[in-house]
Amino acid sequence: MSRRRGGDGGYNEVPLPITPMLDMAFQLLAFFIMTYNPADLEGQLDLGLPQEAEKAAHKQEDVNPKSGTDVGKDLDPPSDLTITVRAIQSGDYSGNISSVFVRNITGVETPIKAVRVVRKKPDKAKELSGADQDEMDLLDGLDAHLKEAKATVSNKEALKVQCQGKLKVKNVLRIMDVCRKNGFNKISFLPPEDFAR
Amino acid sequence: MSHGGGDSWGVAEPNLTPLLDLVLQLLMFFIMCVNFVAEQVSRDVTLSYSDSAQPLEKSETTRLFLNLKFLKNDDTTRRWLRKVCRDKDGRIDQGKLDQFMDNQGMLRQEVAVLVAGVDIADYPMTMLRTRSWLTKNYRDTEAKLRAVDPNAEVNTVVHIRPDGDLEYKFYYEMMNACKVSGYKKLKLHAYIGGGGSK
Repeated sequence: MSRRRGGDGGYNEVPLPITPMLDMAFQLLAFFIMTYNPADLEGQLDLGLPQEAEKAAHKQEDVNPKSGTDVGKDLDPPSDLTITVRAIQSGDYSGNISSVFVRNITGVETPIKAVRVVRKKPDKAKELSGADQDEMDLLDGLDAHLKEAKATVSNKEALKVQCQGKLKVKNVLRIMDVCRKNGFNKISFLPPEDFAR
Repeated sequence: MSHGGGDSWGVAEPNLTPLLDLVLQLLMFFIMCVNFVAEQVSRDVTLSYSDSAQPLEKSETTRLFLNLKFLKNDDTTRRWLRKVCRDKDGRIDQGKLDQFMDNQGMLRQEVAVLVAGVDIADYPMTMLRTRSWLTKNYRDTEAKLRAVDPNAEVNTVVHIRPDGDLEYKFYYEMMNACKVSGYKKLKLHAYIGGGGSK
């Protein structure tokens, strides 16, 4: 509390009205608590610019991560691997992943086999449906394939992804997550097979 | 209040300082949270989840948000379109609404694009219109910058916020439109976490 010097040299106490301030603070607090609606934390992923279909396959001599220093080349990095993702076209699970293929630099396309990984704790509270489990198994298969393939590719950072037009964006993000988990951080997208230019 | 000793009532003086500290700290927390929510983004879009998404960078000077809303063929979407396609006086703007829906309520588009981060009318645009708008916006920005410095480059970062249920073809189309317009930096938005399973 502040004090004021009195006439006789002593100090008189000046009362500080704290009640209105407390009232206001509690009202504000109540307002914010009632209107507080925490949204999920939003994040971002860097994207390479989309590419033309004919750029999907590169020659061996193009694959050199140190070859380009200018911005354009950095945004459009050469890559050894191209992941092709097919989608379920109709029904309740339309837009889910149906099959995944990985094409290497020589043009050999490998179909990804589903791998069942037993997890100690389920990733989400509710039980996975059959289709969701199949999708998860395919993603685990892709994860295993990329781990293996990474040892043989010269560019260990960049790869291309080509999805069917019907595939949902949430599934594109799952594919991106698997790629990034394996160190492929420069992901560029190819047009869907049915894309009209 | 505590009872004083003897015959008189003693004056109880509760120590208000810790209480005030707590209240003000809570107040500060909520005020700050409100500021985070006040981004120029649309809440009409339901983002998907990603384990590899990084927290948003605050350092970017020029940003453009493209919110891609998937238009489901249901009554909620129709109500939403009627809500957003309005003129300044709050009346339904039939011209805007007709771009997305006919008189029978049949949807004409599968995607609505809401642009934020620039001075633009806050109603949804079709993909086609967005494409021409992006080209114009890029040229205008470049012209403004080059009027000051002839070698200046447009450094706008385009943030794409797609609905999780949006189809890849629309998402690719929008990325391609950005590239064709001249933008060089693209970012994709998602909620952080979810174990890739949401």
